[in-house]
Amino acid sequence: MRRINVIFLLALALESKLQAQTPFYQGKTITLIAGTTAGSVYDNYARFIAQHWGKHIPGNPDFIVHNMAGAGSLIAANHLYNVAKPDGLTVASIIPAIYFNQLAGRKEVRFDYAKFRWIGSIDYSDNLVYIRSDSPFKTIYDVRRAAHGPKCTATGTGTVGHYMPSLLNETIGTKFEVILGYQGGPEMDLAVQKNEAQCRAFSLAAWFSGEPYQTWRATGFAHVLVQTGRRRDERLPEVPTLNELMDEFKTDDMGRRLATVVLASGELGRPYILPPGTPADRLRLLREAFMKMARAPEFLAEAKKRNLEVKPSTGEEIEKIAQAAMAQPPQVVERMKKLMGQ
Amino acid sequence: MEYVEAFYHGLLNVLPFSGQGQQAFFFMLVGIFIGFWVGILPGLGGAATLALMLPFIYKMDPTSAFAFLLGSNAVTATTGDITSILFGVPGEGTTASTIVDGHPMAKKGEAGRALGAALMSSLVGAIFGAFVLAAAIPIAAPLVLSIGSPEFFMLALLGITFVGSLSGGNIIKGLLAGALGLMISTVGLDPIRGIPRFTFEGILGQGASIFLWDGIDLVSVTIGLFAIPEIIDLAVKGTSIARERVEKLGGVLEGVKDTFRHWWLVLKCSALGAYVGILPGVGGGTAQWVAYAYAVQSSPNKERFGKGAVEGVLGPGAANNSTRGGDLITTVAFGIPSSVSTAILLGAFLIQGIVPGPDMLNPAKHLTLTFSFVWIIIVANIITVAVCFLFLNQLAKVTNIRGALLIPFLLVLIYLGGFTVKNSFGDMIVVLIFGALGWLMVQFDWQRPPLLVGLVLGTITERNFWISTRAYGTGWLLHPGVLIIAVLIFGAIVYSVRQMMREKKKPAAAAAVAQETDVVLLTSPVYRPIFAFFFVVLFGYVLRETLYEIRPMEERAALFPMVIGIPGLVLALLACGQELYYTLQRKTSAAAVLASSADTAVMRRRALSIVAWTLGFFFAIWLLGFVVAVPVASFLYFKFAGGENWPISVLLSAAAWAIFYGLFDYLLHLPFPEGQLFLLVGI
Repeated sequence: MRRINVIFLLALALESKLQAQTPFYQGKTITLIAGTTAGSVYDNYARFIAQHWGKHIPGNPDFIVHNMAGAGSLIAANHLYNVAKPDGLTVASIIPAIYFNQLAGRKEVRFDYAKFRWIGSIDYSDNLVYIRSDSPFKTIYDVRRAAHGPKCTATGTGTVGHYMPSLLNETIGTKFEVILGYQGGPEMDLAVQKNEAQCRAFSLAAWFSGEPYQTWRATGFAHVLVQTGRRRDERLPEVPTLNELMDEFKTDDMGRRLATVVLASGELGRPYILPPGTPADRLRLLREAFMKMARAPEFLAEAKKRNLEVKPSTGEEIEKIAQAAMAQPPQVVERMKKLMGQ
Repeated sequence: MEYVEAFYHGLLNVLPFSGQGQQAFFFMLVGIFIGFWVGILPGLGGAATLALMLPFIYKMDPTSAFAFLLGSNAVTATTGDITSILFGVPGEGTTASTIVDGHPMAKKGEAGRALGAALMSSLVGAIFGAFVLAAAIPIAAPLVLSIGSPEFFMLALLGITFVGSLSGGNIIKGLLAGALGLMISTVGLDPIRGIPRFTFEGILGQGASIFLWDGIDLVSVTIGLFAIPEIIDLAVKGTSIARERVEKLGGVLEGVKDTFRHWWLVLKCSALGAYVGILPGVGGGTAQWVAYAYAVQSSPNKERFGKGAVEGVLGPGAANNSTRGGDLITTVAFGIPSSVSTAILLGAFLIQGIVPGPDMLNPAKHLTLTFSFVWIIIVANIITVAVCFLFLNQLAKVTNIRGALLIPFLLVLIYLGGFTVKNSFGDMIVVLIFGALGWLMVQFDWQRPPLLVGLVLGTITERNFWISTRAYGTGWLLHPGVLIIAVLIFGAIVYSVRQMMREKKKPAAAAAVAQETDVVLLTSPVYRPIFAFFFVVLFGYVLRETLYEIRPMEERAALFPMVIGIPGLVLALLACGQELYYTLQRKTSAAAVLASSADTAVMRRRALSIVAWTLGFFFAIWLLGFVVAVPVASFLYFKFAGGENWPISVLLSAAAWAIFYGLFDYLLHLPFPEGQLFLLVGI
């Protein structure tokens, strides 16, 4: 009788030990909310990552991608912050630039950007400004000297196309004009082809990706005036960075802070986030798996095939950038609001 | 010579007579099969489906990959017409305009003829668009670059002038509906500074207001405006969709013949569609309505439209297919996509390692592949249309099914169609609101197409006006293209006015065409001026908002609403006066007299019942979630509203559930929200 009891107890102990070893994510499904429409670049990344991420998380959970597009990811971010359970089973991919809305004090923002749990970012992007080569502005210095600068295209205020030229005007005194109202990237490139406008600011990665830029670079139809990375990109050794120019033209401290806030969005790149209050151990699991995935040869090979660039940042890194961007003195915030046209 | 050779090999590569061709042909068939269902089912859009198909092309060769994607994409506009005609629910966002005349034809028992006409004109349109693509390849660059923002603005204005001829005899109401459409297009963040316009924040609160930031979607508006009144009508009459039985379902062949009878119209609308396709940022959604407007405009006898005129099916049928060819031109020639679908196709180019642009036109590089695109569009459409013709008689029989058996399916489809626009409940509410508006418009003789033309052209007009002014100052007014289009606009207006004068002189005999009358339930003459007064209030609100809310924030964002709002208010006052005058004269329409005679009481009861069921389905979906609500609500409807026996009720609601769950939940993983009930209980 006693022996049976012992065996029973042993079995019990063994079982509870087994249970403790069953990973949390085993048999679970993680919902990945893509804050953009199906078919957008952000969505492409999200669907791609959803196929691979689970393999690196203990317990190999399944992933489902849900598109929750609208208001530039604001709807998805509001949902994640207020509605989604902080149980580590809902992850979101957002367009990082929504922090502009919070800094501008828009009341539709129902989250505190700095309090999201940051898992990691799959890519970051420096920006650049390209210009038609047959325009009279050969270098950024020409744009600074001119009385009337070239016309750059943008969809609306608060987008790269708008804030980049405006930031350059503010910090180094260039004279870019911005034409707002274009529907999207393709329309803006066509406008430059038609010489309705001459320049456009967007991401450096895009300039080196597909068409029409590949042809433009080959034929010399357009060239780059300025780039925003910390260092000059190896493919653009001739083009000055914004930092170099700010040194050269002795931009004041407030101007530099302004540049930090505005450019943080590009540095955050394509981040993946959790609701605040997600248990720390699950955040850790997801962070580790994210970086493991981002370095796995199989993942990188497929990314290459899909023409998706991978330059991962850890959760800790982007958390710092996000928090720094949100903690700015009121003067900088005011200037930023003005710059963003709020 | 090289061109001819590439053209020929482009065809061989997609036909099953060689090893390479066999593979491409096979994947094209798979693509067509997918596209066929995507087109038929509302709520599954062509572009979103392409995004889902994209990962499958990694292991394919380029021709197969594009056969797979383009094959699917090319047929959605063709099969989408079928749903629009048979049920009055748009199968695709780009086939909504086929409803306006196609569905009344189905109700007259001419479903077969309407389908025949839609399919044949679709085929002609697709082939036309494909050849435009082939022909435009060498001259694509100058063609596209000749259209700057000023020209684009003027083209949109030209489209808006068509509104007048869509007014169905009452120009004031028509223009007012058009103004309302333009107004609705401004809802959301303004395109320049992102100021929220008409998002009703004070009334709706922030959550709903953010939903409106992205504007009101064309698809949910069309579903509401057209499908809901049709469902109500179907229930009220208590018949099948086809009210009369016509031998051999009205003759599919007759529809095919119609295509050739109106050969010039079909060709012109194909050309129009292809041209709209070339324009960046606009596609089938716009082309169909402009083509519809053009079909009405060019007809000597506008009264027949909206009541089952075959030209109203032929025009959009051709145009929404030919845009597909036009769409591809900028993508192939510049690598600049001109629509959402082509943006996704551009992704396919990248995956395949093909560089769009000059290489595509170079016989030594990818010219053969480019010509394969042309052939894929043509072959895919020929196959689809041939298959459809085989089943057409069976398909058309759907219109003889008792309405009570169809209504739950239709209600599920309209809500699903609304939901999938942004995967949110918001668009389902938009469907309901526009459903109510659409039904009232039918009741009081207001035309709905002008509203949609306004909606599709509003944003284009506003954006391009700002860009033109900012890029060229006022100089753009003197661009040669602008002047030419201005002359065209002037000509179109003069032509319309003269035609209208002529029609007035004609005796009313022409209107005596046999037609389905809508049941008019709100017969009392006081309702008409009240409904018109609603527009006065609406435009009054628009102007108030513009002056006191938008203008202080941003002058530029207020300009467009002002320019529409002021004439809108004037028109609304005129319409109100006009309706009041008619009421005092007791000049109600013939239809109203007809309905008020006999069994109005029965019809009223049925109308109340269907409205309650429509809202009930919405409530059930909200409370129980789609997956549970679909079988439960359908069952209740079959059993209690339809009065079906147990086996049929159980069987049909089980079928509804199986289709719904299997396809949308299990296969496609649409993110259906949990029912509120389960959230409350905490399951």
